[in-house]
Amino acid sequence: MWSEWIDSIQNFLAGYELKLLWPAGLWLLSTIPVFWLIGLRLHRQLPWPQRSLVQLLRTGLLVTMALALAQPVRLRQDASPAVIVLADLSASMSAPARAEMDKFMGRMAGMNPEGWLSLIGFGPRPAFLAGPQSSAFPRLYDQPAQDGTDIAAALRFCLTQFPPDYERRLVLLSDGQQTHGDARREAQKARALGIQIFPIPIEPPAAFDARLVTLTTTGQLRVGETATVTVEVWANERKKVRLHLRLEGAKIADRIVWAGPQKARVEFSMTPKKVGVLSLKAGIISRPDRYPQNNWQEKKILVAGRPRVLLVQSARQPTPLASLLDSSDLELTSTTDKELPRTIAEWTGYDLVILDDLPLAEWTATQVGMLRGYVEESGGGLLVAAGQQAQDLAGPEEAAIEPLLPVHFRQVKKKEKTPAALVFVLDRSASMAREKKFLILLRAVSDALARLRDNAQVAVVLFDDFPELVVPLTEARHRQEIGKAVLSQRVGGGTSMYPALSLARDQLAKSAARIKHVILLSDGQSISVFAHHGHIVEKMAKEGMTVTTVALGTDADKQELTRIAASSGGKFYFADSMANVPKIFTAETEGFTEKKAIEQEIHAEPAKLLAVLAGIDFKSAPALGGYLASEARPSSELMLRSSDRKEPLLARWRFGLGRVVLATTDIQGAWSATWTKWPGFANLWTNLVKDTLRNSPPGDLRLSGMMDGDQALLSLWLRPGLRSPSPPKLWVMAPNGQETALPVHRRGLGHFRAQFRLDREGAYAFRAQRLARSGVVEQAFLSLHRPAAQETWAATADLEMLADLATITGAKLNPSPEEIFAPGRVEREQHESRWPPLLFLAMIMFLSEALVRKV
Amino acid sequence: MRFTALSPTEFALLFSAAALLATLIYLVSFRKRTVLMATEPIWRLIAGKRRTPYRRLLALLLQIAVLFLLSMALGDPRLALSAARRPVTMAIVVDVSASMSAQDQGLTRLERAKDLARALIQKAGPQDRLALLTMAENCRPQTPFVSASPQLETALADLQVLWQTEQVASTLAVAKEALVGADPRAWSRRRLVIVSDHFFDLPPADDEIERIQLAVGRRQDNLSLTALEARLATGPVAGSEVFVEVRNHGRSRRQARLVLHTPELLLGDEIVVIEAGGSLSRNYLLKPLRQRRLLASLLAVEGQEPVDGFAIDNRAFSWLPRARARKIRLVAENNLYLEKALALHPSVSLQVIKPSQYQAQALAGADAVVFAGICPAVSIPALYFHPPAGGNCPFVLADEVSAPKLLPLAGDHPVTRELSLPDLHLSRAHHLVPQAGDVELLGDDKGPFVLAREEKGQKMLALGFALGGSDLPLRVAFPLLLHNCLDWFLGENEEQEPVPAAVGRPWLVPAWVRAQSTFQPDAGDALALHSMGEQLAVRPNSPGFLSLQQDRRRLVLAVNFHMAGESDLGGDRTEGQNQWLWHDGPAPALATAGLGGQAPAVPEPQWPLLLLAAAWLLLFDWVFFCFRILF
Repeated sequence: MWSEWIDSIQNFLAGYELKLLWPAGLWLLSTIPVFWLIGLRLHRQLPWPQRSLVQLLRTGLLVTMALALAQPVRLRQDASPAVIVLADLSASMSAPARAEMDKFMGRMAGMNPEGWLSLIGFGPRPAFLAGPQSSAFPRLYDQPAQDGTDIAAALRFCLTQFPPDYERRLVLLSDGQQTHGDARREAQKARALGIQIFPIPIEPPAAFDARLVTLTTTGQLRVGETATVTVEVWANERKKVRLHLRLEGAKIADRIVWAGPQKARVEFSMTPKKVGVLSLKAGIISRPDRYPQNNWQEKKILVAGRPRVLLVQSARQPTPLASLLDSSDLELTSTTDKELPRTIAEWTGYDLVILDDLPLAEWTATQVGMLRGYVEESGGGLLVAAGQQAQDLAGPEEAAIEPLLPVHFRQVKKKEKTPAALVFVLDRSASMAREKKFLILLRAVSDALARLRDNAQVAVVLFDDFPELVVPLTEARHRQEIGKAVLSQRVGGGTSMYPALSLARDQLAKSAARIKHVILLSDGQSISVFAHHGHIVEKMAKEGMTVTTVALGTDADKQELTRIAASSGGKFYFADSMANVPKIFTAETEGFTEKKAIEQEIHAEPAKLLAVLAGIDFKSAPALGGYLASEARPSSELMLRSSDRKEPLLARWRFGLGRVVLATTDIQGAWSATWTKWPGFANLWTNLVKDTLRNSPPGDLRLSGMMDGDQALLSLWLRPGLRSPSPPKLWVMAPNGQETALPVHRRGLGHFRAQFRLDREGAYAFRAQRLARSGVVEQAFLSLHRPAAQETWAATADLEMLADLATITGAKLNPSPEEIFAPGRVEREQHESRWPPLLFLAMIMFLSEALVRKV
Repeated sequence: MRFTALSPTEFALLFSAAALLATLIYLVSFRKRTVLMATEPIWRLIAGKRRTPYRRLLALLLQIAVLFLLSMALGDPRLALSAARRPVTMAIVVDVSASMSAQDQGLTRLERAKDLARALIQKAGPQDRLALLTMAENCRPQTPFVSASPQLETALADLQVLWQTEQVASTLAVAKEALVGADPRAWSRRRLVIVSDHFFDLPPADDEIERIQLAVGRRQDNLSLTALEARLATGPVAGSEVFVEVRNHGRSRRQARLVLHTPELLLGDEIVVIEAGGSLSRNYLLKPLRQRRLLASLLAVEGQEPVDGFAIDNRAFSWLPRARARKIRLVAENNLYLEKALALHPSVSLQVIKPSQYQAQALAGADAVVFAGICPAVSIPALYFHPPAGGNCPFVLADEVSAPKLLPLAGDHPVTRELSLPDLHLSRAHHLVPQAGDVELLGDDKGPFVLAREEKGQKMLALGFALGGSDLPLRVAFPLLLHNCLDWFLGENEEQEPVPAAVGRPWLVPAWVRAQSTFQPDAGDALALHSMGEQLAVRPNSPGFLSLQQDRRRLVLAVNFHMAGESDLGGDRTEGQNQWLWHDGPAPALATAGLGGQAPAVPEPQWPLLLLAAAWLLLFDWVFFCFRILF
């Protein structure tokens, strides 16, 4: 009976879409009679209206509680869908876009407050924000922007979020710009699971977007060099934008350019003034701009210092060479030979060392050793000017520095007790009186005497028809007496050479000197000839005596004189005028002279065609006042030589890894004073300096790189065959300046790879280094820019993709909230509890009863 | 206990308001009671003993108690079950990264992982909810949270290895979100179980989610091919230089056969021995091959079996580069020396023009030009042999000498590198007048015969002698000289090095590829392109060759599996708290704790009990009121 009664109640209630989940709760109604019975006691206390009201309220309270206890619910068939809103929180969603999404969410939540609605945000990964149990939906405007968009991952994630027995609908709030994943593919899977995707394109405001596409420049240059910077600019519509370039924060260029759908290419020039790794930034200013993040790019450039040159002079003073080098693109350090670098490392810091007219013969073995190491092992360049101060290089002792130089100085290197004996055999025939030839000759002899070493032995024999021993063999220290005797002589008659030679031979035979030399000068035809008297010369030759002959003028018997010289191992000179005689005497007597320099006017001429001498007119060069006599070494290269004797004035050679250039004269001293004013001076020394600077062959180490997502893939190429003690090293400098070493992996002959993740926006600098030679380090440099979030590189929403998602899953593009919550095909029975209002009514009734009791 | 209908604040407000009203009603007395004075002592005697000073206050308290119970009932409180009795909401994350394909005693690691996951699923009860997720590069939910095991088992059976590496951090994030979403109020025990082939260093948990790691499989040694790279051979030699590297990820020395081959040709086959943890590399110089597909394989020393249980990294693929054709014009009259020497190089596309027919337009499209006997000024890199004097020749000739005594070749220039020309004989040669910046490469003590010049970006080389008047063409160095010169003029000659393609990673296709194009692997379905922002990309899903044909253009991609982390089949296998190794048998107890219970998924509502309690108090209240016990 009870069940029938309950059934009838249920049926009755069903007509009102109600149901009792626990009908047993109605048993509480059975307590009402008990309450009434107990309430009969009230008639003694309360008047009947009050008593009736109290009873009524108490009964109502019990009925209400019984009904509540029976757990009445409202039944309804509910076909409302379960809706998950996927909100794109990537960086491409601007603030207005987020506000629009919030507005939409507000409409959705207000539309169906009791419906099943969940909110999931996504960027590169999905994140649960709020669900049906949540009391409120968070503001999307306040969610942090994420770098990357993976709609596919977000779609996949939603699979776990839908409740059973609901039609499943996804609402996608996005601009469609995905950087990862394939949303269409996931949509296919969603369709298979019966999930509909309703995309709501959040189109970017139809705002202008300009983008700085590329920034290109050379990665390495020297300070003061000018490089070209190329910038590519793009915009979604044609408009003027301001393009600026900054180097280390300082603006170096500012230009208004037209940007449009065709990329515009703009070039700038840049001349860095600082050394180091510098930041070059190009940026666009345009307002409004949809994505300011893509308006700039940065590159790091490596600016090397200028080549370092050390100029060592005897005193700190401004000189033409110092001024010349200072005004060029070199970093010049001037010092004196008293303040030389003390360690090899200090030497190695220079790319070129110039030693300008220093007493090099006095340099110690230690000093020379460091200089040698600098050139030989570290490839440094050395430019030496050996002027008057360096004369001792041509002295009797070999200087420590001489092996470093491309010439050797042909002086007698050993002192002898009686070094040499020299006899002048001079023609005093009548023809010598013409044009004061005899006088000039005597003066030349007198000058030669002045240069002779004190312990050299000298004799003078004059001849005409007969010889006369004017000065017997005596030491040159008595030059005054000798000079007086010589200058007091007068011209004579005919010409007969051989008796004079015999006399000279007799004199030399008395000498113990190892070198015995005769200088024979004549301007005429000798009556005694070689055919009859040649045995004298042959005998002299057997006794180690050499005869140098000088034919003066066209009348001289050149044939005889040549024969004499050839037979004795001497030289033959033809002097067409007296002016040449002093030079000949100088050359012939230099082996006997105290002085090591050849101090006479000489002209320089190129010894060969050379690029370093190109464009310099040596014919217009003034004469030099002297030089150190020398001979070029077999492996050296003769660049300039004296025009008369063809002796080295400028020579160079490779010494170890470096190069040495030697000038046997000074650059700006007494001998070359006039050269400093010659226009070719600057060209010559500038070319020489640049040519001698330390350098390493180009292209031995190359560094290239490319971006693969956020990974930098780097390749180092080392020219195969190079001997290198270890693999190249690689470092990366992040935008915050932190430098980290990167491991490199061998990937072939001379090929290495490295990889690095660029975790933040900005410019990264990569520096590779190779120990090319001992002390020489070769560098390669590269800069890569990690741009802003990838979706900022597309200006428009990918509506086509979003439309495809709707099509694939049988949904609609851009639906209204009403359409989203429209009932679906999946129905379920929903229970809405009705007991809470009944309980609340019970409370009110109870309080009312308490109040009525008190009245 | 938690309120589900009202918040604690709302409950407090409701109860406070009701209690306040009751108190006010208590304090207000509208009716005065009449007491009969005469018999008052008798009544006091009867009822007075029972009267307490606070009886009316107790009545108020009783009413307040009723109101309290009613308020509580309105809040719909639920008692949380004890941990032992709560059902379990569990996310099972199965590692499907590449290393799970390693064979382990007849089964792959993934198959073992599936067995373990199955054991977990079978322990679940009707109130438990489980979801299956996979972990590789992304975390991918395979099922929603369900109680029904068939759905889970079906999804489990369909799991396949992905040639990707695992990403634990993102997996944890996704799994946590899924668990929170499935049970926001944490009525159940929320548990995350990661089934993989090794343990991960997880960050400390800041929530109530239990994290358990189960590892399957055994530690294995593994050899992998970590590099197969090919580039054009340097020098005038045609062909490719190939670099191969093998790494031993194991703990013991290993031997294997390293085979280099194309689909048709065997190029190299050797037994290699690699120390534990070490690597071995080989360089090969290959002649030009018709077939550009190059493969390297690691095999067992005997037979054709794979060398280890992880086969995916035992093969590598490479696409041999081709030299970009260099268009060279030769302006010479019947100079077979030059023609043949230039044509020797496979990348040179040579066109010969007679000097009498030479016009500047003939150089259109050329990369460089070689002149023999004439010397016009041009704007492209130019090599001049025996230029004549005069005209607009960029080089000026000086005196002619016969049989000069040559100085050694200047070796530190790109043209003369690695060249040796001892005792080169020139019958006659002209000195060339150098300009500032020129480099003298060969000369005598009077001047240069060979000059290299770089002026305003243009490169030139001049030789002041005719080839017929020297023995240079007969030297081995002659073609090398030409090759060096072309390299110096034009730079390295190789197709631009592409980004290497790796399994599972998107590879950006060139701009000329249309969106509808597809890449075809040697076996399997075609791969469509997908957009990556503004560009299109293809994501290879297995190693091998992918080819794309579009109109007349062809693109072939060599895809490799180079994931050092996956090739290392060891990993952390140290058991610890919440970390277990599993080989066989039932699932570990901690992973299955709480599963299969009968506790309800959601705690029972308590409000009916509260209502019944309130009804009882109402009875007492009524009795006391009616019999004036407290009132």
